[in-house]
Formats: sequence, structure tokens, C-alpha cells
Amino acid sequence: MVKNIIIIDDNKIDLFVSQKIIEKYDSEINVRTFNSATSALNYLKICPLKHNSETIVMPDVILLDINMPQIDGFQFIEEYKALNLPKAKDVKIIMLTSSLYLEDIQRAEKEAYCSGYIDKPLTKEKIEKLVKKHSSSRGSRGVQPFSFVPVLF
Amino acid sequence: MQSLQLKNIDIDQKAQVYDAVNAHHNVAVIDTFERIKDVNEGYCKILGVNKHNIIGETSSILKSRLHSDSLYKNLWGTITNGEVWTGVLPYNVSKSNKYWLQTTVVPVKNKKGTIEKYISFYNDITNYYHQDHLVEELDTCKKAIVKKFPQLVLSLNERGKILRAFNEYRQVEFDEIVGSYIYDYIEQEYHFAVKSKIKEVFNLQTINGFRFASQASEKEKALYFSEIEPVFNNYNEVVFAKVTTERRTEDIKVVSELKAIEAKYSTIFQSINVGIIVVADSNGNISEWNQGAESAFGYSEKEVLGQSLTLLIAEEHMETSIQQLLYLKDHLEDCAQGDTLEMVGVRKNGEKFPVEFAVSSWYCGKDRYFSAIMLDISNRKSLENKLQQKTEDLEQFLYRAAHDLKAPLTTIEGLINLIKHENKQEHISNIIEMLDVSLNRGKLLLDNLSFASVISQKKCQVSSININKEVDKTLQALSSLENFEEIKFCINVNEDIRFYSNKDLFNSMLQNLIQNAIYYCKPLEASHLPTITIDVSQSHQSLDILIKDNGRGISDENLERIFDLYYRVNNEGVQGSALGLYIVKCIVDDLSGHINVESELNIGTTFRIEIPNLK
Repeated sequence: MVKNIIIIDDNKIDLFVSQKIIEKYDSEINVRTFNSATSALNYLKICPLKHNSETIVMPDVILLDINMPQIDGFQFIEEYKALNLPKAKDVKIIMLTSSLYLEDIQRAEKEAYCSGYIDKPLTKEKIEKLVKKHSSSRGSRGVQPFSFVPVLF
Repeated sequence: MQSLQLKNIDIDQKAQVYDAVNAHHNVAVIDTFERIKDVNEGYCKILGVNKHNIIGETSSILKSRLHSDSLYKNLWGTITNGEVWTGVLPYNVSKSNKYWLQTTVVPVKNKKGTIEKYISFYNDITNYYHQDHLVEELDTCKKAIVKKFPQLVLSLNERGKILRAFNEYRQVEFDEIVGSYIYDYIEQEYHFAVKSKIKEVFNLQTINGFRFASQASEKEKALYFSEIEPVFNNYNEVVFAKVTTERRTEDIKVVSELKAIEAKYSTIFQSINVGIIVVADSNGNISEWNQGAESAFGYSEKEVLGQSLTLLIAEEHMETSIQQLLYLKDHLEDCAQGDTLEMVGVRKNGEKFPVEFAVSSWYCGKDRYFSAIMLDISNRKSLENKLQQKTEDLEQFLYRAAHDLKAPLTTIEGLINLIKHENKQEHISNIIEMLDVSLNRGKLLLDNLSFASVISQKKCQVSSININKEVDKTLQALSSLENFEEIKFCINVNEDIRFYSNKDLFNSMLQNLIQNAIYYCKPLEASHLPTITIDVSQSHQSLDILIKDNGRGISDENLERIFDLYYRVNNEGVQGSALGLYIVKCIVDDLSGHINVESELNIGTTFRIEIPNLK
């Protein structure tokens, strides 16, 4: 089951929207929001140290905005890899993007840690599809990339 | 006192003038009865007489007013009328010795206004007069010599100077024309051609021939043909050129017309600032080279004539350039028209520059010649590159701008979604619905813009396309459109050959055209069944697509503008982003295809597209 989700987005309104949608879909899911990649990385760093804590836990899914100042989505993934967290690969990182840049999509597809991408805004349907997909594959090691076929017209 | 001094100065000056006239002119004063009253020393010297012997005599130079010769009649007529006469008068010293005198006669009047005497001035111009005469004589001499040309063998130097002239049969030397130039005997219009022939003989060491007409009056004008060949020394250097001549009997008129054409050609050839290079097929060597070519490549004519054309091609492009040249050579064989060739040229100083050649070829007898008219396209190339860079920048800008603008739209979309969940009020729902529609229109527009910006990048990615499948997919994607269900689709795809193109572009084109047809359909009625025909036929080289509807149609004045950016024929009730047909046009252009449209109001519209098969 997907219980903990982290959303990283520099746009606070987007954060708010995404958080609200997830809560509306399933109020049982814990959502934690960060408006910069740095603060999210700091949080992830301390997660393994607080493994007894109820509130500070490794997320099941990270929804990651690509286009952010200072550290963007792809740089975040690099830093995240460098942390060498235990169970790092169990965390599904989903790219969240308002625009489907061709090169971004290609980059996301190549990135092993990236499990897929969702175009903004997040909706109930999209989160439902995501949760179902990753609940069923929970436990198996292999990363199953899922992707939206971008329809431009 | 003062006036006296002035008078003295006046007198002094007059004296000086008098002395000067006296020294430089031969002066005689004659009274009204034609008798000599006074003469100066110069006058006596010319005539070789003593002063006291001629005073009181009549003037032997001016003769008398009774003389019948018109020259003297005119003279005396003028001066007795009180006017000044000037002219040249002869004076026979003896039978063989003749003076020519530049003469001025001034009548001098008294206070009453009647003529008192005449003062005459004489200048000896015999030397000049003789020279002029000699020239005339020389001219007749030349004419005579040209007539003898056919019996003469001439030796010329590089500049056309005659070094030796002799008659081969009689072994007689013609020294009188040695030192003159061959051009002296040739009509002017032939000079240029003869000059270039002589040059060729010295530079290329080939045997040449030239025609010329003699410098003679129209009546006697004759045509000659000369053969000119180089004479070598032991070191194989050209020492002089040997010229033998024969007289031609051809119609001089035809030849002079030909001459005019050649003069025109050679003037254009030399004066045009566009480089022209002529190459003989037999060896690929350069045989003609003009000023324009010289200034472009930096080689002078002398350096380049006889050299291979490869001298002018940059080494690293040699192989491709030669391939292109050989291709052109074969290609030109079949068609009379010229062709162009772009390549990288190299200047004498090693500098490389892009150059375009307009190549044409012709036969002259058995020999084939090529001419390459070259245009330095450095400027054009750099502008082209700049333009391309700018286009790419613009496309990139459009792409980024469209994407960046989408971010706030998606935020708004998210917020609207939230409002939808919170809202229970009907009248607000309506507003939200409208917000949604506008938002989607904005998003569609931005997507179209960003797609339009990548069309030219995409065309390189080519794959095979299953047309039937793509048509089905497109119709499926469009099935959510309002009036889709009412429309009858007649689809006829003839797909025998594999068609290769860019899938994204192909789909986008298809989708835009079909979507357009659906938008402009008239509603279903008992008397009207909206129909869209999609016909695809194929040949090896291209794919022909026909998309025909029986909808509202487009008026003539609008028809020209439908492919323009942001042009929409009818705003009312029509969806779409106004970019659809612009995108279609861009795609067809980028795939090097053709599109045309026919339409009639209320009858329908037909689009015909031809796009090349890229495999």
C-alpha cells in the first residue's frame, strides 16, 4: 500500500493543490510537502536515523517537480542517489511536470530511479492510477516504469 | 611729375612688347597699294632677301587682291573689309623648297576709320606641316604593305612589335616595317582578339589563328587570316611568334558581324566582375580566365591558364567536389540547360570560401568546353547561417515560452478541480464549466505552439508508417468531438508500398485536417448527410492524400489566407486554436510536399496533399 507520499514543488499553490487532491482521494495517506529540493533531501537524510518514529518515515512515493530553482528534479535524483539510503530503490520517484518537454521525457525514461511521470495538475484519477499500480508491485524488486503517452492534440 | 612717370612706364612697356613681337614673329607692313613699307629681320631671313631690296615691292607671300586663287581672294576680301585674317600660306623659295607660314594680317585704320596699312605676322610651321604630310604618306605606305602581308613572314614579340619581316620566296627583308606594331596594320576592332591570341601563343605555347581586316578605306578593305605559332629556343622558351598570313575571300560583312559578336562577348567576359572560368573537357584544364575570377581567387591569368581546375578546390573537399563535377559533366550532356554547383574554393593565399558555380557546356567542333560562372557566396552563406541560427533561436524561444506559460495554466486547472469538488451550487458550476473550456483552449493553443516550434527538428526522424492504423487512431482521438457521430466517413486507403516519413508530423497533419473537416461540417438534416472522404493513394515516390468534406466551405477571399498564422475563417462556434492549418502547411513544407485546397461556399472543401516517400 502507498501510505506516505512526499511532494516536492517550488510552487506553493501547486503543492497545495496536489496535497488536497491526495487527501480527497484517500485521507489515510500521509502527505508531506517541501517547497525546495534541499529541504526534502535534509528530511530524507534523517529518515533512517529515526526509524522508530511514527511521523518521520521514508516515503513510498516521491512526487517531484522537474522545473525548480537551485536544484531541479534531475539534480535532486543525483543527490538522492549520493545519499546511499537503505531501501532507496523502494521509493518510487514520479516526475511531476506542467509541461511535457521532449528532452525531459527522454531524460526521465532513461533515469533508473525515475518510475514515471505525471503531467500537472494532479487529479484524483491520476493519483488513483498511480497508487494502484505501485500497490500491486509493492514487494517486487523490479521497477516498472509507467508512463503517460503525451497527447499533444 | 607723376603723370610723366606713368607715361614713361607706358612707353617702356610698349617698347618691350614691340621687342618681343619683333623677336618672335616675322612682321611686314603693307600699304593700301599692296606695297611693302617695312619689314623686320625675321621676315628677311625667311625670304632670304635684304630689307632694302623689297621695300616698295609687292608682297610675294600675300600675293595680290587680283589673284584668282580662292585662298588669296578670301584673304584680301577679309582685310580690305577691315577684318583680321588668319590662315596658312605657302611660300616657294625654290621649286623643291617650300615654306608653310601661319599668317595673321591685321588692317590698321586711321582716325577717320579708313584703312591706312596692313600689318602681317608670319610663323614658320613648315616642320609640323611636313610631319602631318608624312603621316599621310605613311598611311598609304601601310596600306601597300598590308597588301603584301600574304607574302610576308613576320616575327612578333609578346607585345605585337614586328621584329623581322621578310618575303619567304624572294628572301627579301622588309626593314621599313620592323619596329612598328602589328596593330598599326589591323583595323581597331580586331586589336583585342589579336592581342589575346598573341598572349596565348606566348603563355600556352599553342599554335593559333586570327582574322583581321586591314586598316584601309571601306572600298579596299580586305580580310586576312593569319596563323601564329611560337618559335622556341633551345631551352624551350618562346622567343618570338611567327605569323603567316593569307588573304580571305569571305564576305567581309558576315565576318564583321561575327567580329562584333566576339567583341561583345569578350568585353562582357573581361569586364564583368563575376568570375568566369572556361575549361576544356579533353584535359580538365583552365583555358580562359577573366578579371572577376582573378579577383576572387587571386591567381592571375598567366598563373592559372593551362592548370587543372583542382587548383581552385579546397583539398579536404576535393573528393566530393570532383564527384559533383563528374556528375554535372554527365548531367549536362543530357540537358541543354546549365546547372549550379556549390563548393568550397581556395584562394591563392590559402583562404577558403564558399562559392557557387553556374555551369554550362557546349561543343566547338569535336571539343567540349565547360564554363563556370562563379559567384562568391561568402556573404550569402554567412547570412544563411545567421538566419538559420535565428530561426532556431526563435523556435527554441517559442518552445520554452509555450511550456513556461503552461505552468500557471496547470496550476489554475488544479485549483478549478479543487473548486469542482467543493462546490455544490449550480450557478457557480456553470461559471466553472466556462473557465474549464477557456483553460483547455489556452492549453491547446500552447501545445500547438510548442509543436509548431519542433516541426523542423522532427522531420529528420523517419520511420515506416502504417497509414490505415494512423487514420483509425486519428479518428478515435477525434471521436469525442461534438458532431462526430453525425458524420459519415468514407475511407479508402490504398497501401501497397511501405511509406516512410516522420510519424508525429504525419499524424499531426492528418489530425489537423480531419479535425478541421469535422469542425466545418454542416449539421445533419434530412436533406444533408455530412460526409468526409479520406482517400490515400500511393506511388513509389510519394503519397497522395485527399480529404474532402461537404461542409460550409471557404469563400475565395479567405481561401488564400487559410494557411496563415492565426487566421481563422469563421470564429462562430468553431473550436481549435487557429494554428491547425498553419501547422499543416509547415509540416507539408518541411517534408518537401505540396498542398492545395479547393473550396466552394456551402458545397465543401477539398484538400490535396502530396508528400514524398522518404525511403
